[in-house]
Amino acid sequence: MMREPTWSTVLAIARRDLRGGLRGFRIFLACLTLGVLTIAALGSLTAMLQSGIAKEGRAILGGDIEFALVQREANADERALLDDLGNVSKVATLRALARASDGDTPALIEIKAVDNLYPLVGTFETVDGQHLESALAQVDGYHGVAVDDTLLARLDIDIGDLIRVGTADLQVRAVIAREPDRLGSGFVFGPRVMMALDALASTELVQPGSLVRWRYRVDLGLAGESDRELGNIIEATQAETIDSGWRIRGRTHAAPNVERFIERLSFFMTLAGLTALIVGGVGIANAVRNYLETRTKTIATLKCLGATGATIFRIYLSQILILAVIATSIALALGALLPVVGVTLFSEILPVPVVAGFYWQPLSVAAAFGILVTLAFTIWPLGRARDVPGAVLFRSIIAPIRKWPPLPYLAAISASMIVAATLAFLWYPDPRITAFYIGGTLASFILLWLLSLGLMAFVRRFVHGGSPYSRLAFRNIHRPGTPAPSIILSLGLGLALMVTLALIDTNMSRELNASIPEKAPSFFFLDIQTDQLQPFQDIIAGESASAEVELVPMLRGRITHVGDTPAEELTVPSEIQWALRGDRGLTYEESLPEGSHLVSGQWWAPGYEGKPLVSVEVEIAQGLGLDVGDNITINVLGRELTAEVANLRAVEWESMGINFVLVFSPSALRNAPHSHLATVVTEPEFEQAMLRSVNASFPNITAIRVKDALDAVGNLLNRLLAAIRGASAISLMMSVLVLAGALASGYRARMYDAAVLKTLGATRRNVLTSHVIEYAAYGFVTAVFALIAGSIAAFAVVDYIMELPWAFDLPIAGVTVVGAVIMTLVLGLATSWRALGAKPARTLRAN
Amino acid sequence: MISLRDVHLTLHSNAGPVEILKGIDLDVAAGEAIGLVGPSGSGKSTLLMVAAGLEAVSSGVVHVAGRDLHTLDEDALAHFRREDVGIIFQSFHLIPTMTALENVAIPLELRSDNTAEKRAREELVRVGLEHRLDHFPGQLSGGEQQRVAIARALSAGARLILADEPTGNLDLENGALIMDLLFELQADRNATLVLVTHEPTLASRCDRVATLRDGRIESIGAPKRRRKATGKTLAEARAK
Repeated sequence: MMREPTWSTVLAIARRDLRGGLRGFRIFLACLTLGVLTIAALGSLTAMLQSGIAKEGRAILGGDIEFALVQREANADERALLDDLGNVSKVATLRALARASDGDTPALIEIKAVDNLYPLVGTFETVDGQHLESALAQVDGYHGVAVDDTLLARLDIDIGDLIRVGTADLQVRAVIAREPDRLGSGFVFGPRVMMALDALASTELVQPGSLVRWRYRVDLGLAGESDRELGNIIEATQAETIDSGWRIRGRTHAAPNVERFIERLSFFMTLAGLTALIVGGVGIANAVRNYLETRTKTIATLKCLGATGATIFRIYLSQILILAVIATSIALALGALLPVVGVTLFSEILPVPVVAGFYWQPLSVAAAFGILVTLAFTIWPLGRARDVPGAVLFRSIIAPIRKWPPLPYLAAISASMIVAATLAFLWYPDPRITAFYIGGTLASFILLWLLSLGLMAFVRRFVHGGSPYSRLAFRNIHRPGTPAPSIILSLGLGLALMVTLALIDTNMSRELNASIPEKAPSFFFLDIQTDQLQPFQDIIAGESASAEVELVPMLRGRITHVGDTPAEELTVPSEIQWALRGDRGLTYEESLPEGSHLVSGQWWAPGYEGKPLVSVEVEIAQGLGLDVGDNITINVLGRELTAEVANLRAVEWESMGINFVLVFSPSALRNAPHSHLATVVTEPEFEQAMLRSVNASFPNITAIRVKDALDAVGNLLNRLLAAIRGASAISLMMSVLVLAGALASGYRARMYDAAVLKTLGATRRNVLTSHVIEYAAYGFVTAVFALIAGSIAAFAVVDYIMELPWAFDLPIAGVTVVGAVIMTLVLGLATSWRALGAKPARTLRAN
Repeated sequence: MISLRDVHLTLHSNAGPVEILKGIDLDVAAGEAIGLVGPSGSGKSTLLMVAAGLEAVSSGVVHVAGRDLHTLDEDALAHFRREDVGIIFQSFHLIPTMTALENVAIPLELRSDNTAEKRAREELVRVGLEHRLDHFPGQLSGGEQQRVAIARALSAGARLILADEPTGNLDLENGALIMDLLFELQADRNATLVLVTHEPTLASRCDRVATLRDGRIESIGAPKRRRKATGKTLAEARAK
């Protein structure tokens, strides 16, 4: 049996062959480096953020465990239970209005009322270095407050001035420089106002049913040092308080909303990075094919000297892997370094804590994706290179090898793809989206391949005649060795990616700049007490006779059981998990609320006083597996309330009117302490006066301007949009690289054609005309594909991942496609221009 | 060494099938030098490819160095070339990124020969290029490149040398020197030489000459007047 050369011999030959330089590998290196860099940098950044949140978990939470209640404080037994665990600090958070004591324009504020143990963990800092206790102390009959500097500007006040909050005048003593637990406080609409619990009591904002969140932070000391001990304590206390409506969080999940946001954003960005790498994979395949084309004679020579196909494969696979390792190493180094530099430079303005450092896990995943994508895209051209016959050296023109690589090579390609897909499933948090992504990517490849075959067959069969140059253009599309498949694949994927990102961008921008619906309310008023209902309506009517007021009772409650199954044990789709997460608004209604219609079941009869009934929003009901007649249990104010589902209801959320997922029959909740929520629709010119009047008469009522709330959400979306635009820039770079590589694959043939045509008397313009026709044909078919595939992908991202309303924007998609096709033409013609500039004699001699 | 019986070869192109070899019968004995002459397109180079196992015949029997090439798969054919065949091309086909020494070592390295470098060096000394070992092909003259190619063809001890117009890219004097070298080495090693050429004078240095026309052997036999070597030594050639 003949021996094959050893790997060291193979590597030696590969190394010698690489002496020719890396010119042919520039696009290969660029595509791979950029793709791996994107995944590595985003993964590292995410790890730094997650690690920062984990490390600062105690400070963000304000202790080892936080026990939170809505609308009520802990009773004596509950407090005793908490005190047994360790040091307990009590904090109350709520929204309210504040105005300068000598002013009349109120602003929405986020109150945090604290005891003198606050903060249990971390450091609270004021701008002038004043101690929190002294800043909040009562001096000359006024409680002090520490505020965000934005409040000073908003109310046009300064340190030492008085602000009116509820019924109390409070003195502004300090500006907050650092609030250690801010990130754990959730979404904020207004500037922070820190005050003592006594000061909160003096404001009289805390009324029955007021939306106050009472938080008890516990420092476990040594008892809860390890995460396991912490978990055990949480589990034990959960068992004791399960029926009391407590929401318990440990330091390991100090800021779940932020963690979710980071995870979601990172998931999207990593998918964008992976897409860039896969599109880059096409560039890698093109580059390797072009490179191997230049090595045809070397391969044939080696074959004549006795090298087997397997040896040829090993030589060139070694080269590709050496270069892949170099590119991946550069990408990993940059991917590890850039986020560190970024967060170090911008640590002061980052809203979340980060732990800068080296995170091997995301880097390993990026490296694995890089190598797997390289293998998946290069084994095919390498498999073909092994079949280059030695006879090439005897014949000047040999038809390109069109046959498929042998079975083991196809198996290796499949294995690389399967391992990459498995890695994606293991690494990414949402298997459904990952499966959709992988399926979509595969489908795109297959469709583009079929599209190229279809175009070639169509042109071969049906397109004849025309000028000699158009005939030449169309023959170029279907001649042996045509670059059509690689150009269509590269262009199609690049275009589809650009259309996807453009449509995501436009949908998010639209959401950001969405004009508020015509009938949308100007205000939401919270915490209206039952005895304030009539005077409140009178004030509104007094300010604007045409104002429309909608009032509903408002409570907070948490779903604890669906049927007999505890909520924690339910498996529900990700898009409705929010319904089980913490407290939700509840109401009761005599009749079907406006902006909704019944889907199944019956609304309860007027004056119904029987056992508790509930109407459930239909999508949530389906997600929870609820149907008419089933039971659902809610914890309201520490009490369990089980109600039977009377009907399912579809809600038009877009109307921005008041609507709730759960609407109870009045008898179920009427007697629970609660406040009311109002929406007011009025003309903009009445808004300020209305706000002032309500605040002057009822300081406990909080008003949220819809526009302000939308602005706050908009800030969040703006950050997402910046991330999308970053992904767009990377994908654009990648697409240009890939396209340049694909066009280069036809360069040699074009040089030869141009030389022959010029020898026969064709001008550059004549030849360019034929090239324009050819590229326009590629542009047209890929544009149609990109419009359809890009729209489907964008819809999936917007609708499923971002959960935003979707609208197709033909002009944006069209402009993107046309722009990209023009880019193709320009790039293609630039390639042609180079080919046309070559002296025909030299080209013909070389061939 | 070579035995061809009723060999036909038809290649398929877009213009239709083209019959290149039409019933070739040829025997070449071990140690013999045979020249193949004939006009362009007569099938000379194709016959060389068939003997090297680079082209599979459509019908007929091809025995080379005791092997029936028809029964060998691609890998076995590669091993056959590695063990028994040395090919010399008109355009040299040295690998441009490798030095003269590395080019000559390749056939030995492919055989996992641990003494590849040493033997390659000896071959290059034998063809008078000991001073050009580390030069790349681009740094060598045409004659030197062809000498490297000859050293490469013979380095692994090939029993069959297939030369396709080896002087086609050289001037007359260099061409003559190269042929002297080739015949000298062939005689030294008792190798079989198949020489494709347009030059009747070169062919006449072979033991026999076969004339091909339109895919058939038109005539075969000893040359009318056997030509001698130029008489120049390698040292003189090197000086040249």
